[in-house]
Amino acid sequence: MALLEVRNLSKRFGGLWALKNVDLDVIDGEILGIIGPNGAGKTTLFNCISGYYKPDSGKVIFQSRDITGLPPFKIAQLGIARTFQQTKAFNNLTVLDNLRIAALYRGTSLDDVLEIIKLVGLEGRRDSLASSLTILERKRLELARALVIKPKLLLLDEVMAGLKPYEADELLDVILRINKSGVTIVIVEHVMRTIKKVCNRVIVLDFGVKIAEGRPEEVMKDEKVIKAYLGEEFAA
Amino acid sequence: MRSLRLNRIIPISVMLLTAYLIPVIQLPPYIMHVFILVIMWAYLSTAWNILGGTAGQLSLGHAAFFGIGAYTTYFLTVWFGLPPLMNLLISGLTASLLSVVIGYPCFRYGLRGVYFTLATIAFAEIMKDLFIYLRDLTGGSLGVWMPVLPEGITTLYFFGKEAYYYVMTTLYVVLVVIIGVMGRFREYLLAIREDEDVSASIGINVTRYKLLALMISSFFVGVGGAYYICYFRYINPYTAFGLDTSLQMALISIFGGMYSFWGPLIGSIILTPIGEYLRITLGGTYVGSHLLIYGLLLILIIRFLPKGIYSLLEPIYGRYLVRGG
Amino acid sequence: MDIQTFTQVCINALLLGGMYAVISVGLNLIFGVLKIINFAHGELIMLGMYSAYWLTTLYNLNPYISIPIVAMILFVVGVVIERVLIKPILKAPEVNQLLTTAALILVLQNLALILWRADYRGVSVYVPTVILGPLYVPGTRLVAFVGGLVTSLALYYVLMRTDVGRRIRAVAQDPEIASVLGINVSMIQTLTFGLGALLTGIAGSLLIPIYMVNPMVGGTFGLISWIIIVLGGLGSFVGALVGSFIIGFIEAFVGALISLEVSRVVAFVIFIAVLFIKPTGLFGEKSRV
Repeated sequence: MALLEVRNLSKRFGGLWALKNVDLDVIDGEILGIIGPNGAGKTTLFNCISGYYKPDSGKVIFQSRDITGLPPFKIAQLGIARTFQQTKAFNNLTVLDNLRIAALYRGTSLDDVLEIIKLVGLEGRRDSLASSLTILERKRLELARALVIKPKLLLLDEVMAGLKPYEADELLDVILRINKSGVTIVIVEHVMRTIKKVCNRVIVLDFGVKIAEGRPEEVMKDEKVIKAYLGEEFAA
Repeated sequence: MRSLRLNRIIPISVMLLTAYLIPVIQLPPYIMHVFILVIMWAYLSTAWNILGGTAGQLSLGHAAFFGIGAYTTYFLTVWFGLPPLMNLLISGLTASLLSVVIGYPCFRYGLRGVYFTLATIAFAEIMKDLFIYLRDLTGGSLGVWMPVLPEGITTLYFFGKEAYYYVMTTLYVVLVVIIGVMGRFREYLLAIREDEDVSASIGINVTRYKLLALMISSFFVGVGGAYYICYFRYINPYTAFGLDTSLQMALISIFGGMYSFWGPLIGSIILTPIGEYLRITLGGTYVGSHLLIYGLLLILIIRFLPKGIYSLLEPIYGRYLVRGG
Repeated sequence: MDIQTFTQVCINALLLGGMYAVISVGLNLIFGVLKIINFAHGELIMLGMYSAYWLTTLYNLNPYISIPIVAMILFVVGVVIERVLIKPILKAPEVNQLLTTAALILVLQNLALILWRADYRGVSVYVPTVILGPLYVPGTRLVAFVGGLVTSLALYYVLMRTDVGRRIRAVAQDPEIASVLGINVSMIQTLTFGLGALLTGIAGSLLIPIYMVNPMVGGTFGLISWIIIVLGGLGSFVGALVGSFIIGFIEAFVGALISLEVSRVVAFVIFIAVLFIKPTGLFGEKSRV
């Protein structure tokens, strides 16, 4: 039984199908990558899974429970955490306060919160205002906040965007550590380097449809995938 | 969470003691009246601030709940002979229920920002127009008078101002205590104020908490309205539901500091006496000058000190609610 | 309701609609186009009415003739408000605009109260009532109706066909891009706000022969304006017009059948309902929130 099952998921906006009959499984413990050219529907997929959009048809099943169409807060309570493409935080609060509130709701202990702060590498910025953080630090905060609610599944939406290569590497380490601690991860990315480095499996979307699935090396040799990207393949 | 510590208990106890001892000094009735007004507006503004400052939902229609509280007490006292003391509670509950009528649709459909504010303004106007229209029931634009009752705590009718002062102060203390023990709840409201999407992503049911904040806020404002009519003995739809009343609750909170717990109190301590003074001195020739000054002060505060007067005091006295900045 | 009354009420509704168009067209420009929240819009109309009143009373100027003067006065008022109050807080959270202009309501209302007292003041202008058989079309309302439509069309023309109008629309679309294109965004914002205020001046002149003015009338006009532009759709010209007529019809019919207060309640309820169902209004595009 997969941790997350997406069956026949479709979502359209007006006349345009952003997702069409998408099927995928997320296996417990893996790091799954979702790639595809711009507009392929990757973020829409995330939004459907995490409750920000209601799919027009299909199902999302998490730990054998149908969560299709549930509101975002409910899905967060059930154990799926996500990050936002544009990092969001409680700007007027400190890093610690940002996390404390998340912990408060979930019941996570202060010790665990401090551990998480260490895990993501934000000890030095614990008492700084969220509004004063650099982009990389904001992303660490997003990860920390997602962890504080003790998710089983973590959805990362283009978390590498805007980072320099060495920053991206640092964040990747954090992600690997998170995965080792028992959190299944689905990561949407543009950057192939990232995908190659961390993902066990990769799914490729194009125009809302799944066109390939498998290990990163296999998928990248797939003709359909190469055609879809037409040269964007090695953008890193 | 940050619960009461020794360095907090002392100043609060001192404040409490001072507040209750004030009437011991034989002050002229008009000064007592000003004290009552200060506490009353501090109370109303603090209640407003639960939704406005803490949860970040700016309502400019809270007069709807104030007015409902006042009129409910009137109806219960005059039509059913129920004791005003009990009516305070029922008025609060009525106001709270009423708030669901506007609150649930607003929050459920994600009405935010200026749209929410507009809806609250329209809501208060609806109440005002309804109460003017149903003149056989409500006395229309002429208003209603509370009857003379035997003096006593159950009837909330006293000859002297001191008793009214004690009642109002006690109501305020009750409000403060209740807000104080809702520490967790306040943190969630803070989160919602800062970012609703992030709040949802950490599991907070934003709609439910906003609604709860509104219901609690309107309950206390309703009780405030009930007290108002017991003290002033008269109300009409313009005072009850008017924009001036709503604006004053918001204004005092913002001036004092809407992101802090004591902000509304500070705001009332400064603004209410100024308002009264202006009303006595200039009010005869220049009606409304106190409101003019309030308006100007608010504009200045928003421009130069958006976190209110409290932000000036914060470095000295430490913070209770304000996090960062 | 017999056919004659019905027709009369329809006429009243149309006339009301036209007047409401006059009132709300300025707000549509300021909020719909510039996205500036001005809660004190009604108070600007009040100032316009007082200006027309005083020009008539002191200098014996017919309010219709004084329209250009009142328009200029309100233009200046608008520019001052924008520069002094609004510009400094444009970058701040929108709450601040909301609160500042709400405070402005208090300031303007009470300033008027202090200067001119609470008495209702009116101006009588002789405009013959048009009589069509059994139907009455009050002349002053007809003038307001025509004036409203003319003003709306003039504004439309300015926005669509003139250089200034193009710049205003550019800034409305995207201030950053507009500035990169060489448009003086700051000045356009001031100008547009002034223009919005100017329109309220015109409204005031057209309304003073019909309604009496007192410091508190701003509240009613302001709220109705907001209802209309939200109902019609922000930034939508057609929307503001349609919204005006919808509200006009509601007020005329419910007012005739039940009472004026109830008509207001109905309008408010519809307003709140629209806010839930389609906050962008009937003709509005993307959600602003």
